[in-house]
Amino acid sequence: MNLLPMLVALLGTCVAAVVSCIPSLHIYNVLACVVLILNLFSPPNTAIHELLFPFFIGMMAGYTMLSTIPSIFVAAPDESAYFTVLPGHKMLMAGRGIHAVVLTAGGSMGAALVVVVILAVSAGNLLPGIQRVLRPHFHWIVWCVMAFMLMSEWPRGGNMGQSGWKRFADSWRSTGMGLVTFALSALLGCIMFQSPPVSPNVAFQNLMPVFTGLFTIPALLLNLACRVEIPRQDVDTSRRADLHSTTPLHMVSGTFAGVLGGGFAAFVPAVTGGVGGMLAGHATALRDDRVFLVSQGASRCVYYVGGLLLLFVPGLHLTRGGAAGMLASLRLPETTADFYTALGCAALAASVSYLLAAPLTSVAVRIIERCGYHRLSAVSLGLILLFVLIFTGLPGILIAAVSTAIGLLPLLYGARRMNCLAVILVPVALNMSGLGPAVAGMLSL
Amino acid sequence: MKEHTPSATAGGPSFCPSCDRFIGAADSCPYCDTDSSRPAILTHLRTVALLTALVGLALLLAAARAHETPAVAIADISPSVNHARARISGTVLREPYVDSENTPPVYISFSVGDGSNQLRVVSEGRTASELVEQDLLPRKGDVVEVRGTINVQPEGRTKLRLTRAADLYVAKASPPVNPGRKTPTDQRNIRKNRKPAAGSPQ
Repeated sequence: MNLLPMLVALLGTCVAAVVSCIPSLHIYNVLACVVLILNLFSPPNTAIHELLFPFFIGMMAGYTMLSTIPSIFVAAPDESAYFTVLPGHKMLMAGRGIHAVVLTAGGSMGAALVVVVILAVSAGNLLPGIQRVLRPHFHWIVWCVMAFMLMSEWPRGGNMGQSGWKRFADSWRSTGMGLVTFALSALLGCIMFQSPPVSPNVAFQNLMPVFTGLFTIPALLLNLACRVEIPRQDVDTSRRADLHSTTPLHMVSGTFAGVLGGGFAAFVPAVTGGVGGMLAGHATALRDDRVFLVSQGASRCVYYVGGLLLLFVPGLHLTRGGAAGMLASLRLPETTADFYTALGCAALAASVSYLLAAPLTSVAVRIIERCGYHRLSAVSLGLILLFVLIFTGLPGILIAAVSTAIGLLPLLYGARRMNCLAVILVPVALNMSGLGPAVAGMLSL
Repeated sequence: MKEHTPSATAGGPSFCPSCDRFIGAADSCPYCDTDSSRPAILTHLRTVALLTALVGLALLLAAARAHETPAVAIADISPSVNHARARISGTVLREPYVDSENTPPVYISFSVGDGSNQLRVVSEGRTASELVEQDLLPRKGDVVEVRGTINVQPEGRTKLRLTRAADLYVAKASPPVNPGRKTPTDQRNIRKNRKPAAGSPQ
C-alpha cells in the first residue's frame, strides 16, 4: 500500500492549518503560489505533479474546517450589521465564539463523511448521467437562483415617522441598496470576465482583487473604523454550552441542509457555498442559529472539498471552483485509483482538521488577546493588500478599491452581502445563455 | 478584549439608545423614531462608498474599453495564463474541424501555429454557427489573429476559446499563381469583419 499520498495530504492539512491562522489569507492564494513555484522550477509531468492531488485535497479539507476561526474571530463586523451576518458573529459578541467554531467544524466533519460515502458508493454511476441531463439547463437554473436571491429580500423598517414617500423610501433603503449592489457587482463581473485589465501572466488570479475587495477588506475596514471590541471568550463556558444546548438532531438537520445546499453549489456553475447554504436554509426551513452554523460548515465543506472531488469522479471530471481549475491546469486525474485515493485523502485530512479545530481556536483567542483586535485587523488588511499587489500589481489594487466600495454598500446600508456574488453569477449566466458576447458588445468591451 | 456583560452587547450602535431594541443599520429607530447612536464616520462612509463605487466602476469600464487585448506567444502559455483573454497570431495548420452532426454546426476547432508552438482554437454554440453561416472560417495556410480566453490544460490539451465571431480575423493565404506575375488575387483578401489590431498579420 502506497502511503505517500496520505502523508502528502497530511502535509497539505498542516499547511492549511498555518494558513487558516493568518487572517484574510485565502487558500486559493496559497494554491496560486504553489502553481507559480511549480511553473518556475518544475517541468510538466514530473513526480511532483503526481503528488499535487493529495496535497491540494489536504489543503482544501484543512482550510474548509479551520478557516472558520479567522472568519468568526477577525472578520467580526460592526454591531449594526447583525441583521445580515452569520449567527457566528452574534455568538462571538456574546463571548461564545469558540462554540460557533466547534459547531461549524462539526458540520464540516459530518458533511465530509457524507460526501466521501456518497461519492464512493455512487459517483461513477450517477453523476455523469446527472451532469448530461442537467447541463443544457444550468443557465436557467442560475437565473432562477438569482431571481430567488433578489426576491427573498424584502423591505423592512418604516413603521414610524412621517407617512408617505419618506417612510416608503426609508423602508426600501436597504432593499434598494441591495439591488444597487447586485447591479454594480454584475457590471464589475462583466468587465472582469470580458476584458480584465490585469496582465495575462497572472490571469489565473484575476478575480482575486475582486473577491478580496468585495468580501474581505470591507469587514476589516469596518472593524477599524468602528473600533469594534469583542468580549472575552471563555473556553470552559463554551464547552459546557456545547454539551447542554446542541443535540444530535441539531447536527443531523444542519448537516443535511448543508450537504443539500453545498452539493447544489458544487454541481451548478457559478453558485457558491454561501448561496447554496441560503437556498438550503430556505428549503429546509432552518430557524435555529446553531443549526444554521452547522449547515454553513457542511455547505462550505461540500462546496470546497466536494467540488474539488468532482474533478476525480470517473467519467465526469467536472472542474468546479478555483482549486479544481488550478489543479486541472497542471495535471488531470484519469484513473479510478486516483479517485479512490482522493476520497481517502479527503477523509483523512478532514478528520485531522476537525481534531485541530478546538486547540487552534484556543490559540487564536490567545493571539487576539495578546495582539489586540484592532492591531490584528490592521495587520490582516496590510497582508491582504500586499498579496493583491504581489499577484496582480497596481491594476489589481485599483480593482480591489472599486470592489471594496461596492462591498461596503451592503454592510453600511444593512443589505445582504450575498448580492455581491452577482460579480460571478451574472457573467457566467450570460455566457451560458449565449448572451455574454452581446452584452460585451453593448458595453463596447 | 472587554469583559462580557449582557449590557455590553445590548447597548451598541445597532440598538436604539432610547428603547434598547435592535435597529440594525437604521439611522433612526423604527419603533420610537429616536436617532441611532451610530458613529458619524459610518454615515459619511456610506456616501463615500457609493460615490467611489459609481465613479470607480465608470473609470474601470473606460479602462477596460481602452485596454487592447494583449498578444501572447503560444510558447509562453503556462498555467498562470489560465483564463487570460489574449490575442494569438499565426498560421492555420490544418483544415478546421466542423461539427457535422448539427445544422447549423455548434462546434468548430482549428489549430494555429505561431512558430513557437501550436494551439487549438475552439468555438461553440451561436458563435460557431455564425462563423460557418457567414463563411468566416479560415482554411489551412491562412494567417489568422484570434482573440479569446485561454483554457490551460496539461498534455497538449490547452485551447483558446473563441466567443465572438468578430474576434477572428483572417488574412487569406495567397492562391498558387505563376511566380513573378502579379494579379489582383495575389493580394491577400482581408475579411473586413473587424479592424486588425496594431501589429497584426497583414
